[in-house]
Amino acid sequence: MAKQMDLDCRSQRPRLNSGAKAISLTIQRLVATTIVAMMLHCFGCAGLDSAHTWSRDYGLRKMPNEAPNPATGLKYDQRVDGGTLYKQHCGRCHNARPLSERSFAQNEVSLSHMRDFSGLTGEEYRKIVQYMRRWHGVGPATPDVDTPPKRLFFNSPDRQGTLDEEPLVPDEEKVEKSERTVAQIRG
Amino acid sequence: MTRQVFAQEPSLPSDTTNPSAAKSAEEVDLLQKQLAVLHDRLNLLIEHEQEVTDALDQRTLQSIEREAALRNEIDNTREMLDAMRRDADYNRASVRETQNLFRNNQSPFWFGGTLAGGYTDINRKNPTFSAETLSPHFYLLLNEHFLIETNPEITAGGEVDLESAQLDYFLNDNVTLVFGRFYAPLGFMNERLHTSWIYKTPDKPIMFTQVFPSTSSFQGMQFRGARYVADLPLKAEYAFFAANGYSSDGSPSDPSVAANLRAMDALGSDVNNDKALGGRLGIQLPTVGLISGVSYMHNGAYDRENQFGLELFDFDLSLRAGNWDFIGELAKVHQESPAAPIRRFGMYAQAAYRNFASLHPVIEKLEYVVRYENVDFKGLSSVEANANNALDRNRYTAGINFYPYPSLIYKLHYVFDDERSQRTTQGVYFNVALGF
Repeated sequence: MAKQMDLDCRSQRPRLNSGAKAISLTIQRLVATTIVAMMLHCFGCAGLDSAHTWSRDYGLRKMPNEAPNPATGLKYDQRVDGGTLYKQHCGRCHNARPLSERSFAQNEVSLSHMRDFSGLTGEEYRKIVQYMRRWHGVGPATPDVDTPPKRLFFNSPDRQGTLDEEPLVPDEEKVEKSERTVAQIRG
Repeated sequence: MTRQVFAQEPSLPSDTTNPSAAKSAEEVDLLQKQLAVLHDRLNLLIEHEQEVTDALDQRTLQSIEREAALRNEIDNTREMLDAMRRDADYNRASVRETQNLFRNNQSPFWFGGTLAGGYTDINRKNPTFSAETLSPHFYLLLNEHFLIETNPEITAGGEVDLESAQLDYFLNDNVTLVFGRFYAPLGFMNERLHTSWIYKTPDKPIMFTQVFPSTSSFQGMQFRGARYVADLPLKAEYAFFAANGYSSDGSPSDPSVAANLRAMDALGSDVNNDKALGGRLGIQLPTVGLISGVSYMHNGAYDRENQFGLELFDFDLSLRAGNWDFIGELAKVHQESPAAPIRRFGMYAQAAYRNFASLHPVIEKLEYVVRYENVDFKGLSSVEANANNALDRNRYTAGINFYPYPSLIYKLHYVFDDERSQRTTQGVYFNVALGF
């Protein structure tokens, strides 16, 4: 009975000839493709920044380690450096593992997995990869060393990177004031 | 540090009645002016000395900090050179790419995982070495857009479970599309701490047995990512998924089927048209070490007849500050069933301390952990509850962990189970887990 009703319903629909069907199908596909393309464009898939500009030629992507412009109101992940990000994130849920236990390539794949799991932004991912590249010395050759590391652990990530790097600069206002006073006395 | 400053100028007596006295007065005036000048210079010198002393104090502090930083950098450099020594011909990557699939700088494949085992003694009855578990992780980074990752788990006895098999598509810096079987982004531990070398106790909290099973993996798709808010060190995390969720293949008229949430999780495939929708919204303060989030899942109907629904709520909060690590989580599950609705509630709070800065080679590797847990179930008969280990209870855990290597953990813990006026259980758990 259900099958009969279904057939009845079908018979009431206007029938399209094969040409109209083909046009309709093409329009549907075009609309679907346009929607998908617009979604991808909205997600920013037109240009994904590369973390490997030095070793892989990905064409016209911007340099991942270019100096940020502080005048443009940058977000935190654009201001902070890769080493700090490594220390903040890679020892957050578990012990930070020694970078030397894996090659750069393995660390990089591992990091792409952690990008997904631990909520790293793409900018953070690229900066940490850059940090690892420098750390692993992917680039110029370096002679072997005889002494293996004695340490197997990093210190607490929270204790690193806290050094106040600001140079000791004399207070110009005080200097001017004292110079003025000396001049008055001499005058 | 403060020094005495001459606030008042000294004055000399003066007499202007006679010429000699007037001359003397002029001399006195002159002397007073000279004295005033000397007084000013003295104050200036004292002020200058104060500044120099402050600057020296500041530099001393900086030199101490820099010395500590230098020591760390020396260690880092040693490790870096060691890595180079092991990988001496890294600069000939093009040759190695053709010869070696694993140990070169361009290899997109990585194999890691976890190996865990242990020893359990509960109430001194049948102490046993627990089943060894091997959980290999395979990753293939196709390019910067796509990562394929799989995580089967193999247990002694032949049980094999595919915990994750997913394709990550990094759409942009802030959004990733995940497709396949993935760890459910519900709560903090289920997704991020599920690996045994990462969580700090021999077993997971009991809320992950029947309140909501962990490790929960769903088949479906999700959008996830993170984004910094304004220019603050405050990151918003988000994950939204559509998946099969919990499903039961058994007859809904059998209450024991509805009671067994772990079996629903293990089924994987869907049995009706209802799809589970859910996700997690959270915040991260990386400079503080705080992560918190709220998760929710509307599972829809879990039975074949599309009659009985299930909803899950979870709140998590964790803080890693210095040597301390705190984590807490609570979950509620409301489940419709042929009998009375089933309500499940569970929570745990855990604190861990490790003296990272200790110079002692053993103390630095020790970690002290305490945990309190609580689970409550309503709507389950005692038979179903016993059959599914869904019993109201409090649990107290205290123990010590030893890390001979950052990813190798030895856990020795004492666990006290208080099953609310029925019985108490106590046991000693020893567990070893290696992340590789």
